[in-house]
Amino acid sequence: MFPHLKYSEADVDGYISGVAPEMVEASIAKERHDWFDLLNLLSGAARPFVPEMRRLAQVVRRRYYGKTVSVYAPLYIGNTCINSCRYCDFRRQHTGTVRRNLTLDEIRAEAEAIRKTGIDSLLVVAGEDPKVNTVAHLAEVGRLLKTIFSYLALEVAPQSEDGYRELFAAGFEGLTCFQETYDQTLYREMHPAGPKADYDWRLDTQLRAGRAGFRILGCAFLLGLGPWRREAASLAAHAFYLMKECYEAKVQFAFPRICRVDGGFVPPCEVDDADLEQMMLAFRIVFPQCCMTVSTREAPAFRDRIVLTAADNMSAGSRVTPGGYAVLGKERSADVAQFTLSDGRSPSEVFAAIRANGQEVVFKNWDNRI
Amino acid sequence: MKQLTIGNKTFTNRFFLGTGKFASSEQTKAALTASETELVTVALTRVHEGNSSGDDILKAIDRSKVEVMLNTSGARNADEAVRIAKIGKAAGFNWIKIEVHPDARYLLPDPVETLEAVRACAKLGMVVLPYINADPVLARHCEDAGAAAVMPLGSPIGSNRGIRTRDMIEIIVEQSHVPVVVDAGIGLPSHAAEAIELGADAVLANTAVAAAGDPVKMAEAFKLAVRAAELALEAKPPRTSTTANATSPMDIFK
Repeated sequence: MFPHLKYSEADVDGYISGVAPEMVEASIAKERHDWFDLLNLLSGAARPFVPEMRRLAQVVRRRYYGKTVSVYAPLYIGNTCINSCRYCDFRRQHTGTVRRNLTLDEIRAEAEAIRKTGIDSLLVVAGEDPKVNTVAHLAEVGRLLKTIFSYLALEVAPQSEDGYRELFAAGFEGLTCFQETYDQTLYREMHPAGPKADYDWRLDTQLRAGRAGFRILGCAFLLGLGPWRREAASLAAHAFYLMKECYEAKVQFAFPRICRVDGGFVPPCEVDDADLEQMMLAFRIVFPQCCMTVSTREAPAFRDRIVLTAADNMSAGSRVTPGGYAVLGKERSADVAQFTLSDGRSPSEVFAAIRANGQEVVFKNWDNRI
Repeated sequence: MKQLTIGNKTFTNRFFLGTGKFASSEQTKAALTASETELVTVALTRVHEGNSSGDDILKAIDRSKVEVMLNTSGARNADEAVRIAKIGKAAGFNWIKIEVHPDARYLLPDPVETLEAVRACAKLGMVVLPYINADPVLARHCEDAGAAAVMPLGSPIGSNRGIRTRDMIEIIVEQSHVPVVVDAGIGLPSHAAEAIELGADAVLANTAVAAAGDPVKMAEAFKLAVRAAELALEAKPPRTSTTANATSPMDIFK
């Protein structure tokens, strides 16, 4: 479990399995929700209440985010990695992956290709390779991209607080770091070597970034590694903790579902669409003000539906290979991707679907001159 | 009611509208028209300069009819708010709503940083309207620092909970030398009417209109409610009483 929580896995599992329908009803009826409400809404007993949760989540989402959906794209600047995450195609042992780190010129070309689609918010992603992706290099990338995009976020290896301070000054406002699993034993199993094996260093990533000034702190676990209800309970505890410790920042949730990768990894605890929807609705109800994103890991029909009720932010036209937007051209191939995408629509197709649902596509939601 | 003047501009409509959260710029435009508002707030973070994409809010606004007041939403301190104000001023916007809310959960305004930002922006010659907690002492400090009006909250932004700060707003109204605009938490036209009834000079709403099932109709409802309250004040409502007062008195003595 999230280490600052005073409950064990067994406590949480026991509580969730003991939730009665009346407890779910009471949580739905409340105006202010706490961690136990989240557990109630995550429970098996809450499953028949999903239609009601959908209605409530939609009201809450509309109150905080209006009839708008913000859009972004990820830009993979490199995929060399010294970690050994068992589920990831970027892991160092995976020889089938073509490794590439983009030059600044290539990064600019990729960025301009993304910007042409209208997208104005960017998530910069890279594998963990401290020799290539130094703070100084990432800062240089930030300064370059800040001239092209209104908003920059970062999803790279955890950095020190001083490192984050430098990156914030360079133009990065948001940070995403998936804990992968909050279960320390499972974490050790999944990350047997490399710097990522250090659970605590990764866990405090958002705290360091928040203290360094970052505005958006993205948290997630990888759906499929551990039992989802238990992991979600930890994720929520992590969020409540960050909301207290870094009150000047906004927590952002993502719910990345792991898929079967080339290396043959089979997720031990698969999460289906109904599980995922229930979880996202529960988080929207309990954390009305927090951002929630849905990536192209999910299929179009699911994404189009979930941005009405829970998520406020989605990626569009994503390429998860370094160089996938412009540099690789036609030689673009799936075997260098980090994971498989389920929504292959072009950005304009995604925007059209959002508008068809009666929502405005928000491209610019920040200003890089602030 | 006496004429409402803020900065150098006189308003005939006391209902101001925010422009976030609408489903499209067409809908924003239709709601603005229905509200007949003369002042709108726009977040600088949503303004495109030059390369304008489809979500540019300014497209929806006829600036010959409506004054645009940029807001500093997203700013966590005075420095960021002033930076936003300066960007706005350079782009031709002289009205600025100071909005400094570091806490992402309740979006409550930071009084210390807000006051500092008011002082700095007033020195730049801008028309400054600070969004503040309903704190009468802070309202006076803002006035002294150069605010053209003060904007105390009714309840947290977007909460639709109405005026939970009634007693404090009454004191601000009593003491203020500058117009008082009740901003934030206004969820229903009746809340807006209540603000005018308790003496506020104007009301600003956004979520209540934009998130409504029919924003255009709701914009009109707000306009009418504010106007109704204004007319009622002009009509001088009778005093309240704790006992009944018969509408057709029967006097027993000749």
